[in-house]
Amino acid sequence: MPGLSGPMSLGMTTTTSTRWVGSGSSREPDAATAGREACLDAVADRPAPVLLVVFASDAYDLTQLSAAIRAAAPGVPLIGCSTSGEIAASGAGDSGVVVMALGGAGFRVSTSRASVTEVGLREAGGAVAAAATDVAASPHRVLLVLSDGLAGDQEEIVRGAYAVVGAEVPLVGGCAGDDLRMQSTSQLYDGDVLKGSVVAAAIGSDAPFGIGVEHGWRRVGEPMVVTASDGVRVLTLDDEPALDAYLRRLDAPAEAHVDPAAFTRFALTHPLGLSRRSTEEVRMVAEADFEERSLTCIARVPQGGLAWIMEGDGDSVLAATDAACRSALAGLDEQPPLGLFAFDCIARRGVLGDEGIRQEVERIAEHAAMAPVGGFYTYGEIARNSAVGGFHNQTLVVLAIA
Amino acid sequence: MRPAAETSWSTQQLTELLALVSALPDEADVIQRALEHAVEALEGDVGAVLTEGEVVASLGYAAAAVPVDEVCAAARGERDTLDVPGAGQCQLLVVSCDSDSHRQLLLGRVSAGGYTSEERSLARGFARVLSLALQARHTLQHEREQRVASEENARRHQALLASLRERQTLLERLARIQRSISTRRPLHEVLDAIVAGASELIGDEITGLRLIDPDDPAMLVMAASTGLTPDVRETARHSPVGAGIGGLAVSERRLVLSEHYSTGDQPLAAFRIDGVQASMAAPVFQGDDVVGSLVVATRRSGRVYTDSEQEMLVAFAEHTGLALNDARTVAALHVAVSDATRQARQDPLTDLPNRTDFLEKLRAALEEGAPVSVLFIDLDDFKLVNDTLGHPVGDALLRVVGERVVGSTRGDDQVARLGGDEFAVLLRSTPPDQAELAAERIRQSLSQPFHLPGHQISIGASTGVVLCPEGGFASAEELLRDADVAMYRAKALGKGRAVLFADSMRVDLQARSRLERDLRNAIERHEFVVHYQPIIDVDSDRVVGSEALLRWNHPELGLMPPAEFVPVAEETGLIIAIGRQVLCDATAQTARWNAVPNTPPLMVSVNISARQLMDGAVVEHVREALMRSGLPAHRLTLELTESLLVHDIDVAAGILSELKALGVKLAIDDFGTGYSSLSYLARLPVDILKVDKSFVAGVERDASEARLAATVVALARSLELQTVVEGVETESQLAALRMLGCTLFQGYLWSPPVDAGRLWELLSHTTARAIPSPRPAFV
Repeated sequence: MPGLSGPMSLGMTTTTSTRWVGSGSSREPDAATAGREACLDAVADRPAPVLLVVFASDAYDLTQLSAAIRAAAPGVPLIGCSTSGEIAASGAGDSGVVVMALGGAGFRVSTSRASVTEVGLREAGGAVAAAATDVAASPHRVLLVLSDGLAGDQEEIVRGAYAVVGAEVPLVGGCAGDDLRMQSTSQLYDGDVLKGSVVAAAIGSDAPFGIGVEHGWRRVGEPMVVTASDGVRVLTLDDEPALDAYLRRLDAPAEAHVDPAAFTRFALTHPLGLSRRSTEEVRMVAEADFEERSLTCIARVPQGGLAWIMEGDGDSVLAATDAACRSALAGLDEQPPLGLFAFDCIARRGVLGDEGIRQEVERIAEHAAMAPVGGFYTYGEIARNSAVGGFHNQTLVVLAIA
Repeated sequence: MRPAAETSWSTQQLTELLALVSALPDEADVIQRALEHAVEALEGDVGAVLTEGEVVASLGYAAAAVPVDEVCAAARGERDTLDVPGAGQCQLLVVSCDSDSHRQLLLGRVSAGGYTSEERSLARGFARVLSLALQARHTLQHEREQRVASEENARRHQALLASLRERQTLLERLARIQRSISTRRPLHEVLDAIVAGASELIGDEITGLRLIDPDDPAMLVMAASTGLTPDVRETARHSPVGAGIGGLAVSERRLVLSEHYSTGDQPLAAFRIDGVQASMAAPVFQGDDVVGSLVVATRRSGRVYTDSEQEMLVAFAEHTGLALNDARTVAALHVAVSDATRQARQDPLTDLPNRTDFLEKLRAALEEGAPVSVLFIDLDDFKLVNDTLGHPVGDALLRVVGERVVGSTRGDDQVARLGGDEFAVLLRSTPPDQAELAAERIRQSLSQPFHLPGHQISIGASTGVVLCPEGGFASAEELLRDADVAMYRAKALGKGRAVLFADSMRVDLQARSRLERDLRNAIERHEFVVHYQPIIDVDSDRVVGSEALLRWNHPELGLMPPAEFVPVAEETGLIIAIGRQVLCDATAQTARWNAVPNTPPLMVSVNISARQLMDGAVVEHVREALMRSGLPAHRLTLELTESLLVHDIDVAAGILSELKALGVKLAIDDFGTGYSSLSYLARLPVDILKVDKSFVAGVERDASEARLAATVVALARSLELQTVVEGVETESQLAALRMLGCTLFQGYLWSPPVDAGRLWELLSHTTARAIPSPRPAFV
């Protein structure tokens, strides 16, 4: 049950039969103190912790932070990543750390890591997914994946993982952040701080998992044909240089035409939408090449497809929050949630603003009832089950654990 | 959830897959990627590709856990669901990549409900793309193996290049069609893109898209074609399902080809006679239904269709079906196909009979020997509506006009739209002696304002009436032509009226067409001259400027007044070129006068016609005239008739603002004589109000008319407009208008319009009142 342990940290715990999920957070500026406090609150002296999931600002010395967490819960497997803001039931914040802990006999966990830079995207996805077989004895499984969103087409990681686990094990997770500097992110594995990597935890449980995915954007104007693209780079739209078509359609502010940082800020709230069978797949526009007049997205934009420019507002984005939480909880076969993980796109944060994300996290906490919530603002979201496919942008992915 | 068919979602999926696999060098990669793409696009959970019944790729099963036996059984059609551990029971969809089922694509999806027909089509499309991609891969492989034999190599290399090019072309063509659909191009453009694409792809000069006639499913209609002569297109418009290569492809639901057309299966006579030597057709599917066929044909002999070309046509036809699956397109398609069958008889805009149908009905009526009359109705100034409000408004207006004409006729009377803004009525229920009454009834109904969304339009119509008494000898064509001639007379008499045809009118018509021809020549031969009527400032008693007036120095008829040729010049649009010349001449002449030392500078007024104003180039023409002449802009006044501005005040105001921006002055020429509206006047950036001679003539006559003139002048003053009084002929008129405070005048009291040389002579007189007594000329 929730208990305050000082103004800078907060812990919550839910226990059901022998399974439990706990969370702790801290904004203590010292890495070691913050890590230790958050971890102690998350575990809260409960028996048999099996997994720690850490979301931390890279303002911290992440090596020190990991070491402190490991010291507070010795021998418990740890995965985690750097963020562009952390989510906890107590609210969303920057420059802090959130630790989620799972424990009890009903959970089985196997963690893994792979370097994208060494083995390639698809192979790294396949390699971490292999851990799922270690928990094959559990009736319900999920693969929690945290990756480096700046290291190429994340869809390939999802495909690689899917090729190994198949339809049986849903994939869920997000891409690490770096407070929107878009330069370098970190992945945490036990005591190591990694770059250009994927870390994963295969979680097996006696009870179901539920996944909800919603974006809350809507199409603006007429579609354009992606007349030339190369992987994540969009070269032309309707035969016009993509950057020009994009800026013109949106009547973008003058500084977005010349200043890369201003462009990224602007593009954050104006993603591209690709038409899919039952929805749009949203593509975050990360940067512009002012020489080549091209756009670079966080995931592949196939040539020949139709693309819309999308827009959203606070209401539509918050409505998506409710919908994602509801569908995640609906997957629990009417059992109460032990905890919720939220992987929320940094762009949605951009639309919502500070007050908006406060409301959003409040809503997630409401849906969670009293169960702990942990997550972070991501550079791309992963969710694959039989209803939704693969890698997402500008989306909220909620994993509910019963 | 959005219905999948609402956008061309599936065509896009195919195009994406083509683009994706085109870039992959390795066969296993091609298969795996195509499988992934298919599973992702259909939001499936599992998938597999089988070659000769063996699983060669799979997705959605944990590694090494593929239930091979179950998948193979599913591919053989022995089961239609599969259990996927952890995910549930999958509904299966199995499609063949080629005609012999050597290779199959299997997809499974957990979500409830089966696959829609569009999804089945899409899966078939994916399979087809996979097959095409692998074929290209084989060509490449073959080329590698043959590399040692240089001659063979060269040939193979050519084949490879050709194959790669074909694939690229296919991709581009498909993308173009998709773009046509996604950008909401009219259906005929989409269909044209399809036949053009197929023609380019296969390289045959004849291509046709045949679709099943919704009104008669046993028949096919040619929805689009290239390379056919109009005659052949006409005779081959309809053909039975099962006849000809295209008909066989529909009835047999497979690719059909004939490399010896005239001796092959059921050739169509029209094509055989046209010299078609070989032809190939592939069925076009929508869902599981064949809706038509895509046919290519050539008149070249010895044509052999390669496997690759056959595959290409099948793929293209599959894609065409998907493209046409778009819900909106399907609806449009049904209309288009029905239209194609009705096209020969019906006007698509108004749904009224067209000219062909009208003439046929007229012919039939004449054969019966009954008395008939024909009305030829042409809207007045319709072009102005089209030009200023746009074609959609013009089209809407035509539809309502059609309805009103129909509403004003009775019983057996037949209304048709002949084309453009021309309508015709065949009066059968109305005796000839009442034909003019019927015409009047129609004229009155058309003179009421038309309320269209966002626009209220007042437009009149000119009507020609021709009577054919019982047992008359005229042919249908002659009657219609005579009605046309009478309509022209009605226009010439001032529009908005009906005129009964008389034989003498044919002569007039000939004269009119001669006038039109002469006008065209006149521009080239510089037969137009500009005359100038001085404008006097009575306070200083000086000529301060002139109004430039157009004259035509006709080589045979001599000097012609504008009233005799300007209406024809307006109608034909020649006025734009003529007006441009007047602008250049008048500004150049005035600049030359002003260049003479020690003379006060003159201004010049030039009339701008309706057509000129609404033509986009008028601003450019004025700028050009000012630049060439060097005349300062404020010395040029453009005179506009108010009636031409009221058609679309917003458009007019926009163009006038552009003209004002050049620095010229604007004058309203006929204020108070036509549609006068104070609110219009206040909205226009006008400087000068010209007081029309009709007011001037009135000031002497009676007090009420004098008050009218006073009101116009007061109005000008309240709007801070300058006035120029024109048409002043007597001293008493001058005195009365001076009393109202007017100072600028023109009229015969001083001088008629005169040529430039004469005006210079007049200017050399010290004062305006000393101008010698004028010789009468045209105003």
